[in-house]
Amino acid sequence: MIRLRIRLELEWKVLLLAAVLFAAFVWPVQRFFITRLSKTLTESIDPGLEQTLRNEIVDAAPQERAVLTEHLERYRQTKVLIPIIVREQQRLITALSVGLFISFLLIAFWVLRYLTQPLKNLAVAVGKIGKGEVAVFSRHSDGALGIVETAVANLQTELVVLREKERVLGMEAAWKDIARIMAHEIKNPLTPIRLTLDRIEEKVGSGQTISSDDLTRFLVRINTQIDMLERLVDQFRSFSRDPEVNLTAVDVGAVIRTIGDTLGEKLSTVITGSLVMQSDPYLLQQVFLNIWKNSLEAGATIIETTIGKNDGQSMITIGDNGQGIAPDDLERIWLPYVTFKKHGTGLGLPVVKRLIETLGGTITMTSVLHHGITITISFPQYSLQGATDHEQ
Amino acid sequence: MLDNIADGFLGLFMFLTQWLSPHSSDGEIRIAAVRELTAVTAVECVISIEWNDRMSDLLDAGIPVSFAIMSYSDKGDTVRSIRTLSCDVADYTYMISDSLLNGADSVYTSKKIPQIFRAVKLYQRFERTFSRDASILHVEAVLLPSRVNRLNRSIDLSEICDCRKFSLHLVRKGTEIRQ
Repeated sequence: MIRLRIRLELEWKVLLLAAVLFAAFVWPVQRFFITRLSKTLTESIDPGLEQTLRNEIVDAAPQERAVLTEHLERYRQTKVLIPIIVREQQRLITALSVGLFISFLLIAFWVLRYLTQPLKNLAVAVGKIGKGEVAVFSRHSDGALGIVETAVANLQTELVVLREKERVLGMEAAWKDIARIMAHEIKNPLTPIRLTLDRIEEKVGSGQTISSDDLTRFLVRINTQIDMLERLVDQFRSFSRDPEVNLTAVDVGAVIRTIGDTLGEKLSTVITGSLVMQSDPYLLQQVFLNIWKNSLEAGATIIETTIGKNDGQSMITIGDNGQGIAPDDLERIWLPYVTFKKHGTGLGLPVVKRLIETLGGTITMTSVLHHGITITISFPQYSLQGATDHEQ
Repeated sequence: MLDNIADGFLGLFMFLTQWLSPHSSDGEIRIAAVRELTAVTAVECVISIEWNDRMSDLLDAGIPVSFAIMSYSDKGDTVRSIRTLSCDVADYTYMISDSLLNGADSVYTSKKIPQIFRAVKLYQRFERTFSRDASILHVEAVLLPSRVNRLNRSIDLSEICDCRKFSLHLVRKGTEIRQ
């Protein structure tokens, strides 16, 4: 079945409806009046008059006969002309109806155009306002249409004010976001620095001698975090741009081991396998640090990491024994400022996801509530242009 | 879309105009006989009018039927006349009259004919003469509006018999005359 879908504007629909109504009502009404006229005219003729006149003509005197003949002739002519008169009237009514219909259509069309034009102008204006453009439209209508025009004009004014407010609020919110992210990211390197300094202070306080190797190891750890802080500052300086990526051959196991050593007293790290791939060591360090901190804050005491290659991809699987996350909440953990911890910022995992995607990888998480989480990170063989994975 | 609707209205208007306007189709005049006389060729013509009961009723009501008949050839021979069939309402008899319009208006009236169909048959037939050396002969009959004298109006009978104009065009080739 073929469905014809014709989109008609309002005025054409009204005109079409008027035409249908005209055909539906005027034609039967015309037929009714013509039938009535024909019946009335026919009934006005006395059927016995002709015979009466003919009888009288036979016996009439010549002068009377002429008069009677004239009457007879008039009677017959009237009778025979009834169908012709009716047809003439029918034509007249039809012509008048058609003329009236066409006049009505023209007037209706003009009136509808006149009435709907301001509405169309308003529709165009509202469309422009919706797009944030300045709409100029006439405001000369009276009555309800005038009220609508005034309302639309007021709406436009209010929208301009609201947009300006929204812009200011957006800028404030953006600055707040930047401040929160900066605080969060600066706090990450500060934690290992604080722990290292605490350890040095503990050794010095208890009168222990710090060996040259230990001191070197502590200084390297502090220097590494200071380097990271400097890099963070540089990155925030160019906040509007994606993080700067410097590709180099990275031993993923070594990066994880550094993080594990830093947090080793509170969180044991077990590494299985080895992996060297083309990536950015600083960005990877930020990724793992955020994940390790997240596990620590979730109450985990051990993190097991499996690294290696699978199906041509570099795979890093990280599992902890923390509180875990309810399955229903898993989809929301990657959204900024969504946190299920009492003192969480809600930025750790979104930052991790963004960094992994910047490096060309993907990250997924599964969890069993109260039994920890499992994070799977994968990088394709050519995760970045020019990047090549190498396995030891 | 506006153009299509305007065309639609124009088409509807033209249809209604044609429907409401009087009929003007053409009929024909047949040849009943051709006689070659000494100086002229006499062509007996028959107007092929569709006579019907309504025409009879109108005629019986005293409304005459009139044709304006014109004949001419390439040699002149122009004759114009009005041929009328009328009814005497008092005694139901019919009469045919021919009014020649050439110079002195001459009127020829037939005898009273008591039967309508015979009267009509005679009325349809008429004769025209042309020069023997004329090679193109033309006869034309136009049905005239009839006067309804008692009601002081006229009616167009062409709407009832579906034709207004009847014509015959003849060409002479040697001794033969063809349509």
